[in-house]
Amino acid sequence: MTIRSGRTKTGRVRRGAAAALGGVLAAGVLAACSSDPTQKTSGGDAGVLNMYLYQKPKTFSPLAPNNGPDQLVMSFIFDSLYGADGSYALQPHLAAAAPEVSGDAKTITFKLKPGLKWSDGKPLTSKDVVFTYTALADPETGSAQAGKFAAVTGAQALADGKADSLAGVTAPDATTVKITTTRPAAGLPGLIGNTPILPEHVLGDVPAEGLGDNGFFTEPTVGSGAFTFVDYKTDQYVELKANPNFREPVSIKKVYLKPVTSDVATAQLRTGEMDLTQVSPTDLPTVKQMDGVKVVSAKSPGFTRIALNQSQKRFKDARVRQAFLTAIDRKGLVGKVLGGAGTVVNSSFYGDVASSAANDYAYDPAKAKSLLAEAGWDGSKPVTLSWIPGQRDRDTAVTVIQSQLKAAGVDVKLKQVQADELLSSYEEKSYDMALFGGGNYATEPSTVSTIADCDQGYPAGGNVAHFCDPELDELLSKADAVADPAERKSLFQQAAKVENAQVPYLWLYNPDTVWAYRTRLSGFEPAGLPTNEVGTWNFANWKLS
Amino acid sequence: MAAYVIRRLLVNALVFVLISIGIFVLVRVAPGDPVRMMVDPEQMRGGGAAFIEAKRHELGLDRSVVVQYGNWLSGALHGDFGYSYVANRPVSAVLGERVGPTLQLMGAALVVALVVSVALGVAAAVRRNTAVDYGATVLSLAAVSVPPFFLGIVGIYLFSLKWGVLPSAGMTTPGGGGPVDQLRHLILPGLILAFVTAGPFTRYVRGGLVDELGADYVRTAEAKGASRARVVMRHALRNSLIPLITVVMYQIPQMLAGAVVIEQVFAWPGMGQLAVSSIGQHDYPVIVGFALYVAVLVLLCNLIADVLYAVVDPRVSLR
Repeated sequence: MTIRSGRTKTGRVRRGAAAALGGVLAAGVLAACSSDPTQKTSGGDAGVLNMYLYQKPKTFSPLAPNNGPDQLVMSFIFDSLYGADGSYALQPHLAAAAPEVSGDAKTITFKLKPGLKWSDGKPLTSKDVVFTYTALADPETGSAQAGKFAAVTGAQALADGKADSLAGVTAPDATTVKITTTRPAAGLPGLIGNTPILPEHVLGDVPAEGLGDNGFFTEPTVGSGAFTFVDYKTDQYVELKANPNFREPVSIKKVYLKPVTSDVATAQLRTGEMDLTQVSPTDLPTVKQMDGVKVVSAKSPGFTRIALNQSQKRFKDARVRQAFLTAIDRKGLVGKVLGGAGTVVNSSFYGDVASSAANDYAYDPAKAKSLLAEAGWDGSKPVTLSWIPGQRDRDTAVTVIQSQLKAAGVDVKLKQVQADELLSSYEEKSYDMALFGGGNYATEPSTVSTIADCDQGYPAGGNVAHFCDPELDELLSKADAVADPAERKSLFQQAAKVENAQVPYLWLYNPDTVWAYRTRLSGFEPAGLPTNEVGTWNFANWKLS
Repeated sequence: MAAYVIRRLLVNALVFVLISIGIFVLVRVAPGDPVRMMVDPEQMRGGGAAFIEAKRHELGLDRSVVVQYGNWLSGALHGDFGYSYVANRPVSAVLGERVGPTLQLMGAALVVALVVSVALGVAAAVRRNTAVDYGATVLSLAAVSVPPFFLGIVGIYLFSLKWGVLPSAGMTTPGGGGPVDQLRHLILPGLILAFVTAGPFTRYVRGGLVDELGADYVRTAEAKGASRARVVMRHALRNSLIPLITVVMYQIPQMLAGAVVIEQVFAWPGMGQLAVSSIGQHDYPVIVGFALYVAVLVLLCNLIADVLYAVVDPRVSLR
């Protein structure tokens, strides 16, 4: 660019500037007017429910790795053979009754309710179930769930590409699904029963390879849930409408699931732009004071815990783990970081099964000290506690735990890490202590093996602590070979007792899942784990005035 | 001038390739495995590790960075910027649907910012060292120094919660809403972004006009009997606005940074929200796509600034 002297031609200046400004104006106005002007405002309308979605959904596919917000949406639009009730026991949904498990626990039969229909009116039959389970078991489809079907006959051949179908899953008639397994698998219904069923008449002709990437999973407009997918306006809301063919009549006409920040959700609850949200303990006092808003809570099966890396010799001694647990005032934590909205747990097992977990590891710094002394703990070596920051209860909990362990003679250093950093430290066994949460071992107690079995060390399984106790493994595998529910329960109780004594993880607390809703909504039952199970909701009871 | 523009475009293309290499390598050497993060440890049982391995292979992440870049570049030259790991859709589509909302937010804010800053800047320059001038200085300083997220939260508290006159977040009421509804949603985030942007503009307008008002031709104009308004508006202001072109063009990519924050606070479905979430999820193709979009914006705005300069100021010629 060079400057040359000359007269200023004001005319050209004016035209140039006007054109530039005009262009910007036009762009702004055009963009502002791009929406369809025929549609009406719907906030607060009768029959339209606005619900908070705590993160943006990615895909609506049961084949994909589990992702909370995806599953919350799927719980509205897909149905499964079974769903969990408030105490996380399986209840029939598409299924007509509880699964029939043969005496040797190698044959499982599901009966479907008669006359089931997809949202497009086509019949929903056992063929759909066979199709879904085959797709889930076949890694070629991009399924991340194939591991759940490992016990099913023919799963290996399907995974190896030696077979096109899953030999062990058949449909003798339109309402019967029969599953045979190569080893006893009494826990299978609990593992796969709550998986959303996919429409075979829509996806049946799609080749298995890359099925998971099919466009259906971004726009699943045919479903069997209480609601049918209409549209996902990227980053704005997921729009659903009532499914007239659902197995029960539903009175809510439309649902908008809105991914916004929790601050915005709380604000919108007050203004009426939101009808139903999940509330964090920190927002609870604010929400409780709102007019026309009700707060309810449910026990969550997931628990916040600390893994001690037991590939390190110093954490192999159970007395050390017991001492750490005894040194932490967990009751105090629930009060301090959750505002009391949670429970202290002493086992990875849940509910009835965990009742045999005898030792409650009450806060006792003196006992913790003596246990450590017994185990010959070397207090001069520091222990690093890693966690992913960002959740207020955990961010506070780590500092409390740090000072309480210090009092017991353990020098704890805190380390904030990113999600993948934590996973890679599990894999490389390079961390000392890690605080995290989640999981559901309530519906099917044998899934505790995923986080506790000797051969489930991460990344083969979810045993990130690299804990190993053959007795626990033995009890859990025994339970899978028993068909009788009472006998299974007794085996799980024994397992819980062993687990409670061994302390594979430092169980901290089960945070309650707190919900707040505007009182124009009635019949709402809070769900403790809305993101992990299809069918915790009882949509037929939900009414809007 | 055509030759100049073509030459600049060629240089820009080269810069673009260099930037793409830089971003591509930087994103990939940053710690974090996007695939491992997809699977929760709880679900690793049985097939988890195999799924991760298969997914890495499918996405080409098991190959060297050079091969990955080669594949990406050959795709990019055909208009294919890869697939978002998270959304499972082409990056161009993922970015494309966010351009509109961001453009709407930025366009509206820019127009408001220009109108306000010119008015305020002129007032401050004409009434130099008076209360008006000081007021304008304080305001524009506040605009530069108060963080936009704070303004956003205060705005939501006042206009949505306390007075209930504007919606608290989003681009429309779910289900559409029409132009009026959309405009109501735009007001709060748009005005806040405009306020933040108007700060520096006002300073430039004031500074430019003060300089011009001291120039010889202004005295000449006054001497021939032109009114004060005519001197300011027709002579001095017009000339003082020329440098503003550069400022505005440089500010547009900067505005995007402000928009990132505003979009986050107001759940505005634009580029900013996308950028933040893709970084959190290590969605490499989208991060690269977004960074390149910003790079193109900077390069283009610079070029437009230079060309516009020549258009409005005949003393400038481009060779």
